[in-house]
Amino acid sequence: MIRRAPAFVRTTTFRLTVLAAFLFAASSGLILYYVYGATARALRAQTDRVLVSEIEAIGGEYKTGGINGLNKAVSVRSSDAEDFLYVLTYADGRPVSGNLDSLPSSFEPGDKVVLFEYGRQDDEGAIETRAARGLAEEFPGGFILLVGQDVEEDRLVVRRIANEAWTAAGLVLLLGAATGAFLSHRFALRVDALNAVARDVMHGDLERRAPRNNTNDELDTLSANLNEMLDRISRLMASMRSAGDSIAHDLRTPLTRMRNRLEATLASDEDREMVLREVLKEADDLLKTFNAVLRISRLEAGERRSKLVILDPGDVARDLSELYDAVCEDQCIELIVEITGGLQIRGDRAMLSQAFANLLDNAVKYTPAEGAIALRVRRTQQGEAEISITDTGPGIPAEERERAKQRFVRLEKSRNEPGSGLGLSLVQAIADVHGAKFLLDDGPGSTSGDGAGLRAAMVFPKTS
Amino acid sequence: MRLLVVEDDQVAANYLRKGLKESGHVADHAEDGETGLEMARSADYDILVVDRMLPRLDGLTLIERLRADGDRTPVLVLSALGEVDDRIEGLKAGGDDYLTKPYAFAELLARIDALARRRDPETVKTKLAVGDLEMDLLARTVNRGGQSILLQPREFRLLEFLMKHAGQVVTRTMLLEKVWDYHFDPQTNVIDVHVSRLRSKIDKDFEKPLLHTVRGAGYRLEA
Repeated sequence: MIRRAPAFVRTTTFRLTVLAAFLFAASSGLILYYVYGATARALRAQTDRVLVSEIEAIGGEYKTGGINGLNKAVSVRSSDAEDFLYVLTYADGRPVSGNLDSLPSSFEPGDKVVLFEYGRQDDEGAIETRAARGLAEEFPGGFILLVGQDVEEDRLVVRRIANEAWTAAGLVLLLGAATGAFLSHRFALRVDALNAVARDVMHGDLERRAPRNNTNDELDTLSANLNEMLDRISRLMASMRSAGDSIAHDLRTPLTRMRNRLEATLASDEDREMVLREVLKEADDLLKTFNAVLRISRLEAGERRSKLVILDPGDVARDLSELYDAVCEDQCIELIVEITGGLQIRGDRAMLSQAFANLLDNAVKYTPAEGAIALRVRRTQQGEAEISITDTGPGIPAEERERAKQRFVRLEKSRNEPGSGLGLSLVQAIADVHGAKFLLDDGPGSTSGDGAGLRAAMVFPKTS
Repeated sequence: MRLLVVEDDQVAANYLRKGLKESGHVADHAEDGETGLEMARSADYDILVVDRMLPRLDGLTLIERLRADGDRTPVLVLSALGEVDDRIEGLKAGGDDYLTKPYAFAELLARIDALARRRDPETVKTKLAVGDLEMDLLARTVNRGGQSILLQPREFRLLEFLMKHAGQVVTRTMLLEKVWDYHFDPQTNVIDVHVSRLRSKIDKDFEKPLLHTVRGAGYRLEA
C-alpha cells in the first residue's frame, strides 16, 4: 500500500505556507549573512588601523635611530606590550628581535597583510593556538618588520554570528511549516466538509446542504453559494417533475380525443374531410403547446439571460398597441395607451413583446364589448419601470392567482376558451429572465358586473 | 421552378416534393448536407429548401459554403429551433428566410414564391401599382382610380408589403414577421382585423375587389 501524505499536506494552503516559510528563512539567513560580513569587515578594519599606527610609531624609531633604533624599539615593545606580536628579521628571514620566533609560515615576501596562527601560553601554562592578523613593512637593507595582533576573540564573535544565522533560518523554517500545517489542516477540514456535501449530492441526496459558520469569509460564502445553487437545482427539478406530470396529463387528453375521433371516423361514413380538418387543427394546437413548453423550458434554463440590452419599455408597448388597436376596436373595446417616455430597462424586445402579446390576447379574450383595456408604462414610487395591462373582464380570484401562473393551469372559467394554459407561465418565465416581478391584481371592476377585472404588471429592476 | 430539398427525414421530404410537384414545381432531393452541397453546386436551382440539422454537414454550414463560392441562390431554412437567436443565426449564415417546424404547407409555398420573386433584383421602385391601385413610396401616398386613400403608417407598410408581393399568397405569419417584426403566434385574430381594415379602405367603394382571402393560407393582392 502506498502511504499518502496527510490530506492537509496536499492542500494549497500548506504548500503556500511552506513556500513562504522557506522564503522567510532564506531572507533572514541572507540578512544575518550580511551582518556577519559587515561585522567581520569592521573588526578587520579596526585591527588594521591599530596595526598601521603601531608600525608608523616603530617606523619613526627607524628614522631617528636607523636599524639599531628599530631593533631597540622592537625589543622594548616586545617585552612590554601584551597586545602586539612583533618580529624583525634579516632579508633571509633570520630573526633579529621580537616576541615571535620567526615570520609566520603563511608569509610570502612582498605580502602586506598576513593572517597567521601563533601559540600562546594560557594561565595553566598550556600552549593554545590562536589566530592573528599582521602587517609587514620592509626597511632598507631587506629588514622585514611584522607587527601582529591577536584576533582570536574577533574570530569567535564572527563565527558565533554565523551560527546564529543558521539557527534563526532553521527556526523560521520550522515555525513556517508548523503554521502551514495548522492553517491548512483547519482549511482542509472545512473543504473536506464541502466535498462531502458535494459527493452526497452527486450520489442523489439533494437535500444535503453545506455547513455555514456565518463569518462570511471565502469558504462561508462558497458554502452559501453552493447552498443557493442546490436550492435552485431542487426547484428546477421539482418544476420539471410537475411539468412532466402536467404534460402527460394535459397532452394525453387531446391526443386520446384525436385518436378516438379517427377510430370512430374509420368505422362510420361520417364526412371525412370535415373530421380531417378538425383533427388537423387539433394537431396544430398540440404542436403549438409543445412549442410553448419548449420555449418555457429554454427560458427557465436561462439561456437568453445574457442577451438583455438597455431599451425603452415605452417603445415595446407602443409597437404592441399598434398591433392590437385594430382588434380592440373591432370588438368594441377601448384600448387606452398611457406611456411615460424615457424609461430604461434591461430587456429583450422579442421576449417582452411575446409576454405582453400574451397578456393582451387574454385581455381581448375576456373583456366584454364596451369594456376597456389599458396598456400603461410608468415609473413606480420606488423608481422602477412597470408595464401593466388592465382590463375590465371578470378577473382572477385572489386565491387562484398564484396557481394561474403555473403551467397548464386553466382556471374553471377559461376551460371553454381556446388556449393552452401556458400563457401566464410563459409570461412568468419571461419575467424571471428579466429579473422582473410579475404581479396579478384586481382591476377597476368588470364592465359586465361579474368580476373585478384584472391588472397584470411586470415590474423591472433598476438598470444601474 | 426547379427546387432542391435538402432534408434527411424521408417522409417529410416526400411530402414536400409531392406538394411542390402539385403546385407545378420540380423538386430534387438530397438526404444529407454533403450531397446537398454537391447537387446545389452542380445544377442551377431557383431555390434551395434546407433543413437545419442534417447528417454529415449541417444546414447552416452548407449555406455558408455555398455563399463562400459566390452562389446567391435564395435559401429557405427549415428548423425545429424557432427562437429569435436561431433565426438570426440562420440569416447570418446566408439564409434568406427561416421557417419553423411544424409549418403548414401553404406557408412554405407562400415563402418560396416570395423568395423566387426576390431572385430577379428589381430596380428600386418608387411607385407600385396593382390594377388601378397606385402607391407612391416617396410621397407616401396611395390612390385608387385617381381617388386618394388616407392610410395610417402601419396600414401603409402593410399595403406596401402586399403590393410588393402582388399575385402571391401572403400568410398571416409572414405579415406578422415582415410588417410588425414579431415572431410569435397571437391567440387573437389581430392580423385579420388589420387586413380587413385595410380592405375597407382600398376595396369598399370599388366594384372590383383587389385584396382576396385565401382560405387556410392567408391573403393575396391581385387585380
